[in-house]
Amino acid sequence: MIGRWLVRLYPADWRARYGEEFLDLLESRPLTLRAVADVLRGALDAHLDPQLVGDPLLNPRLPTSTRLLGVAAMGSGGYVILGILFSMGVSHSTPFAEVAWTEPFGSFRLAMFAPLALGGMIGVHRRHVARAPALAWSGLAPAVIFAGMASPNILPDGNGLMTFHTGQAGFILNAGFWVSAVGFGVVAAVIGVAPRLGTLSMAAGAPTAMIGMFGPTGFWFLVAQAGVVIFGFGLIWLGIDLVLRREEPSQSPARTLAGR
Amino acid sequence: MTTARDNPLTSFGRFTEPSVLILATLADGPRHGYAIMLEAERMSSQPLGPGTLYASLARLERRGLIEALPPEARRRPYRITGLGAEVLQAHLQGMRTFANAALASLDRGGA
Repeated sequence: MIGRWLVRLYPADWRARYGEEFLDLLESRPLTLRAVADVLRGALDAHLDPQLVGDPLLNPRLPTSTRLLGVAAMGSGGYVILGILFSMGVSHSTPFAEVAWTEPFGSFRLAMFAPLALGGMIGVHRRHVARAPALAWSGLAPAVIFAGMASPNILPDGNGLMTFHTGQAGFILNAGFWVSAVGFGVVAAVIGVAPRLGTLSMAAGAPTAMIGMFGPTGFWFLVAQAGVVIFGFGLIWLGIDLVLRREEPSQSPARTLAGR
Repeated sequence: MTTARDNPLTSFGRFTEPSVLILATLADGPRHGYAIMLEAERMSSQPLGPGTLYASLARLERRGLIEALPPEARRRPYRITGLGAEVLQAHLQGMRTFANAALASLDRGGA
């Protein structure tokens, strides 16, 4: 069972070529923690070196615009993780304080994170449309609706910063973002074009962050921050995949070479 | 003739040593992944992780140093190619030269 999960961490092209025999190897003897760690490193290596499988001439990179959206996804994920680390480093008196979610960081979060994250989602969505259009649009729709709802609520605060509605409107919009992210992550995982580690990290990190944010202080802030880090990791992983991935064999003449 | 200088294994980074080990296990005939892992562990007395094994196999296959044979159920045997055998031989000769030089240094030092 765990072997199948581990194999799914590898890129689709890699799985198509080595998946069955690799799973057979994993099931040949009990998996140790060391072996699991080794597989995780191998999966990362396969994502970072997609030329391991396939012909680079027959399997070109994704379009530049999609790869740029991948960079946006990496930027948004990195931004929230750095924000968490930053807030933990500067808030000695209030452990795991909500510095990352209040001014001035909160304003920058809205100005930078939301568009970048949305860009990353659109980048993944563009790849989904070719595979399952209806499902892809249903996955992206909540995020687009949320973006439309949120934009009129980001207002200048008179100090050169943009602020976000607090109170009930802020609560609803904040929840809207995380719910959108869950929906997107689940749909992306079902379609299966994007790496599951990224989509499931988004789907799991978003509700964890939301539950933590709306819970009492103390321990729940830690939960919220853990959720945001998991969510940010998912965005980074999806972004790396968009930047490095090559066209699916089914979309290029390399299909006939898939079994070589 | 492959020399140590143009040895493609040197571009494998951290997968160089496992790749040499894999080529060595295939030197006497084809083996599938699990058999390669067992033989490599027997030869080196070191564990060879599954992720490292397949990352190395993929690189060796891409560079034409090994080739896949038709699968047997879920297992796919691999065999060393002519180029792979040449590269392995050059690599081992280089190691022998290094070992001889190092041993000679030790002898001269009287340690």
